[in-house]
Amino acid sequence: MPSQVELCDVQKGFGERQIIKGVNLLIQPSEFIVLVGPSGCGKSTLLRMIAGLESVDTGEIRFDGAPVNDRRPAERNVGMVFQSYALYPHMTVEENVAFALKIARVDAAERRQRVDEVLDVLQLSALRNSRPSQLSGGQRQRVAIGRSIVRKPAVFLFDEPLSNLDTALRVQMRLEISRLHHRLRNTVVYVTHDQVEAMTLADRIVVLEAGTVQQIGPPLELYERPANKFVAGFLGTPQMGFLAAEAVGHGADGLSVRICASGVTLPFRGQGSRQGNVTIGIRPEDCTLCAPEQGHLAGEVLQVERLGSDTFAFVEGGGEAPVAVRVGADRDVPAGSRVGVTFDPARCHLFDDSGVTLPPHTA
Amino acid sequence: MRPQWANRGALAFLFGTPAMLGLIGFLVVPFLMAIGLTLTNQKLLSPQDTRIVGLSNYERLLGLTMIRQDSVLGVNGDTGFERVRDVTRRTPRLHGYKPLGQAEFGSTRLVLLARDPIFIQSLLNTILFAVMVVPLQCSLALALALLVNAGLPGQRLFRTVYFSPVVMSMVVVAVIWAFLFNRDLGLINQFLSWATFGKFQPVDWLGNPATAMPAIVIMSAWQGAGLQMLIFLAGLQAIPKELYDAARIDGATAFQRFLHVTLPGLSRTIAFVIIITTIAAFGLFTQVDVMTQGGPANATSTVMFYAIERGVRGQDIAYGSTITVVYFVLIATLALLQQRFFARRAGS
Amino acid sequence: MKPPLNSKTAAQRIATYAIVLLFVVIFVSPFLFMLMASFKPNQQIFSDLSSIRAFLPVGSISLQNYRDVIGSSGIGRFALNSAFITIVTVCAGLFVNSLAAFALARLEWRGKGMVLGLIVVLLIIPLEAIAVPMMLMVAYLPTLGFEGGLSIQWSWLDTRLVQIVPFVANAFSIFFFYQAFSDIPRDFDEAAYVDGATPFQVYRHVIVPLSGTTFATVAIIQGLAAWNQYLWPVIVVPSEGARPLMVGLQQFFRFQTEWGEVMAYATLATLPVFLAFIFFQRWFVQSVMGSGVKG
Repeated sequence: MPSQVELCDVQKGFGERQIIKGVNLLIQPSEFIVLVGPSGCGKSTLLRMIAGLESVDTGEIRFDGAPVNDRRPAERNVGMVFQSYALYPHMTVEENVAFALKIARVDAAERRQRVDEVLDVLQLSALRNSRPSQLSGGQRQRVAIGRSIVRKPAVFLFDEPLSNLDTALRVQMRLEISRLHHRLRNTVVYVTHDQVEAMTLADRIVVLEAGTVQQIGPPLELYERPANKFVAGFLGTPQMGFLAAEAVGHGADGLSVRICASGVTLPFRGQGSRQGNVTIGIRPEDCTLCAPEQGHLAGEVLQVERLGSDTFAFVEGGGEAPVAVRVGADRDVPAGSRVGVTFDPARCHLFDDSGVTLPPHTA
Repeated sequence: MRPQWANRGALAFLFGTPAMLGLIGFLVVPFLMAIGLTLTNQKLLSPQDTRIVGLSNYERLLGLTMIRQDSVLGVNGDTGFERVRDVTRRTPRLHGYKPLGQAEFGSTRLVLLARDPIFIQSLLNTILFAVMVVPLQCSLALALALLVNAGLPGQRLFRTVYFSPVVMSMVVVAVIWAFLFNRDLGLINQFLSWATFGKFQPVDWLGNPATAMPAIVIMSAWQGAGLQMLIFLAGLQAIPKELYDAARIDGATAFQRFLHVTLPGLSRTIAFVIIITTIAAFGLFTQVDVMTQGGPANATSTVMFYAIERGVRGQDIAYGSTITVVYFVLIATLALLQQRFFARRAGS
Repeated sequence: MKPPLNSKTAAQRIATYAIVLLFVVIFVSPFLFMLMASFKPNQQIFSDLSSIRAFLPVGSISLQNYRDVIGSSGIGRFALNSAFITIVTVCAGLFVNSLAAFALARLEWRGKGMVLGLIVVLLIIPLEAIAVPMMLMVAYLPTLGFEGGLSIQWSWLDTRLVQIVPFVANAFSIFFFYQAFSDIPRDFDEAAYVDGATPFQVYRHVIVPLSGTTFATVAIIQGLAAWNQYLWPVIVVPSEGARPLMVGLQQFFRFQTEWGEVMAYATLATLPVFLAFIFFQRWFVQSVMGSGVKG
């Protein structure tokens, strides 16, 4: 049975350093949760705490309402897929998958049947007598998954499982994991630093940064309504462009904001009668190129990335990083040329001095 | 910090206990016993009770002094020196001392006296052995390692051949070499005589005080060099190939590459090899026990051989322990000094 | 590591080869002499000495020396003693030392660092430094005897036990295992713990199967030491009952004038080690190369 997992103000430190600074999270049964964040944000530590491989300093982890802080990993009924897969090199595929059942003293007939079932689901039956060293990366990945699902765990934990695979395999395995989840309906906690994985797999994403939860929500909600500048910048490729700006007044449509680099003042839908420094965030797909003098912003094209379906132009806009603009795939923008950029202020995000999103103005 | 369940104090204790019992019972306890016993007069089988005798074992072992004698007129008119035995018997301070060596300067002579001249001689023999065998064995090992590493076809076979004496028992090796060193029939004399067209006078290698120790040195270096060769090989293989390529591009000759790439790259390994070879050299026992029994005239008696001779065969446990404690202090000091020396060299 | 061959002239290569082969002769000839002499009668060994014949199986070749040695010298019993001592020491040593190393490398407990430090310190105490007091100690240790019913004897002298027990626990082996175990990724243990394994199961099913080479290496080092043991049995095994092969050879050598028989004895004593060396050469070499440079 899939479990509900609850983290209540969970904290952890290594010596002086606080790694996890109070995380609250309620994971519903059968939910696919992705913990995402840059390396060192504490996401793997958090996962290992759920698994029971790391201790919890303060706070409580509950499975179906029951505290599990003091339970050993084996007593939590979790399955875990490690980044390195941790397949035992001296065992065959079959033995690797059967190991947990052997430890649990499941009788041979049932063991055989359950292993067969798992190998079948993962299309590994033909490889049952191979050793891990004879397998491709994707096959190893499937064995690692098979090994953790054979015990029918209530919670399924993945620690950056696809990071050792090449791009094509990663896409394929992503689909397989997704399909497997639809079939098994386990509760899944999945750690990754890759936002594409997070966007494609998750029911809900948890964005972590420096041991704190930045935002929790369904992928599109996070993409469209990021709670702060960090989340806005973390999700989406190319990254959201940021422009330094200044709130200069308040009108009927919202805030009047002057873009520092160009001096253009536009009405934004940000709330409140604020004065002072703000940051404007714009997605590449919300920008269009135009003549330099017509743009809200003008600058030199530093680089052009042609991906086939899309082309992105990176324009030096006077911000901390160049602003990415999506242009038509067939459009030729020479690098080094001077262009203008326009955007719809209604599609923009506005962040205050501390990076928090200014809530949209409700007219 | 790991979770509570991962703290396995009790289990670690269970897993570690058999090994720790063994190490404590057969290493720590005997070592402490050795130190304790040196302060007693313990014998293996003795009607007397064991008593604490303080540091007298050490005095007996290490007692060393010098006397100066002037020549005296003998009974029949010629000048000579008073017999040392008469002097020591007459002087309470010199009681128990025996002559170790002497030097004459005209009408005076200096006599070196020791409480236990055989021990002093054994100690000197051991040092002599180490001084000869360490350079010989280490340079032989380095030469072998360079040869094996030269990239010739069949190098694995050569490596095996050079290493093979190491795995053989020292007793077997000593027995074979005792035959090779034989005066009348030994292959070494036969070979030398053949190579010099019969001019070479056969030497009784193991029966002559002057040649017995060098003979053991040669045989020991032959037996042990393969071990250090392998350690050198590991060191050689750890030197990045790029350094050689770079030196080659810079136009260094083979000898310059050896001097400026190989030797510096091996410095840690060389230090390690010299230290372990020295320590092993100071433990010299088996070769002597099998080949010469310490003879001739104690010329091959070593510290360890003498310790077993007195402590076990003479059943004087306390005295034997004293010798081994002195031996341990000696090698510990040596190891420490060498390590310091090499650490400073590597640091500068 | 090795320069390309074409960078050396043919003359240099030949010269290097000549030196290599000269050393091969120097290292092989004593053994060859031993082996050949063991097949020859005494008279012929002497007469062959002045020529290359000393290293060739020529003349009157027979197994007579071997027959005589096996028939009269007690070598059979000594060899059994040595085999028993070696096998028991190695088996017990592998288990005891690897288990202790597992506790040090893979389990969390207080005082681990201290115990590890103690083991490193113990590495430098050689047997020679403690042999004499240890003899006194083992002379008063109890052992069970079975002659005429169960009885306790208060001495370990002249037993096989005394040649085994002190050498089972070995600081070097523990340290060697510890280093090897520490190099195994933690994920393996953790995956097993998630699957419900106990620490002993992790040791048994994960660590041990993953450390085959390490076990072979330690077995070789401890086995070689046990088989070639000499100083200790000389001290504690004065009579023939529990005498090991090397002491037997030394005694035979001292009181025997038949060179052929001594050589046959030496050959027999070397044979097991030699065969093991040929078959497990890779591990012999690894055992030294792996253990050396880290120190």
